[in-house]
Amino acid sequence: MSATLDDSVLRTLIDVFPVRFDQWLGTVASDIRDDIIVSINYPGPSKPGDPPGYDTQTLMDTLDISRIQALIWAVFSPKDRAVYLELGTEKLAKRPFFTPVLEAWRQYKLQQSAEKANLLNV
Amino acid sequence: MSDLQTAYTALRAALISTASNTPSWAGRAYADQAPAPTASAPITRPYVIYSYSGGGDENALLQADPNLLIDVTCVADTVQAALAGDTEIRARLDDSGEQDIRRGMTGDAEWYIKTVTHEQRLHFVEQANNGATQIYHSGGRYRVIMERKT
Repeated sequence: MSATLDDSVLRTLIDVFPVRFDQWLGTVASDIRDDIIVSINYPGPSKPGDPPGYDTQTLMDTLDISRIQALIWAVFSPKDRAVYLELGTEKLAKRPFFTPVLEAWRQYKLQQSAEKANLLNV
Repeated sequence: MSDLQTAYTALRAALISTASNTPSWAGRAYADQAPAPTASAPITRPYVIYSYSGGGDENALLQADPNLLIDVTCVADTVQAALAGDTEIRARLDDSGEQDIRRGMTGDAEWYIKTVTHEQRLHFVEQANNGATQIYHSGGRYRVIMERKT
């Protein structure tokens, strides 16, 4: 048995309204960054497995978004520490702060955002 | 047993299994983090870490239906060893759920492990000892989709 996802309507909408979808993705990227900041906005120290708390707010202050190209946006931190916290190191148990937020967006927030932007009813 | 405990147990069993063409990771596979080394029990690289990264119930079914992201990475002294470890890990884990094509991993009395799917590649260099030592981490993020039996 196999299943095929029919995304032809979505692709047509993107082709017809590229600017609108690009702007929406920028909003999504900004909202994801804000969700991450909310999740790490408490004083440390954090427990292994929990999002990192802040000591110096360095991580929080360096979270940013960038438009890579049309329809591709990035949420990033230029600090090595962000990778170490997200994935762990040999001596530091991981404190994921990015993946849990992305998973929440995959599960339901992306759809909510699209509905709020009235993207699928054009 | 919790869903994560079942997933960890199945992942570990797949990693240390001797029924594979690649060397077993027995004694070199750790949950969450390698233990602190001692004189009698040193930790030698390469080794494997498997750790929960995100996800939870999808709430698409009446019974519990966890959709977990678990990172499995090889930690090594050289990039070559880390990448080789990643390849071995992927050969053991990817598409190995009970409903996958390879069916190597099974759940327990309480849980089905329906699918195990490699998603993002993970690769980074840890600058240890203030940059004097490089430790290479290479592996993947696996989506483990489960369902409660009872």
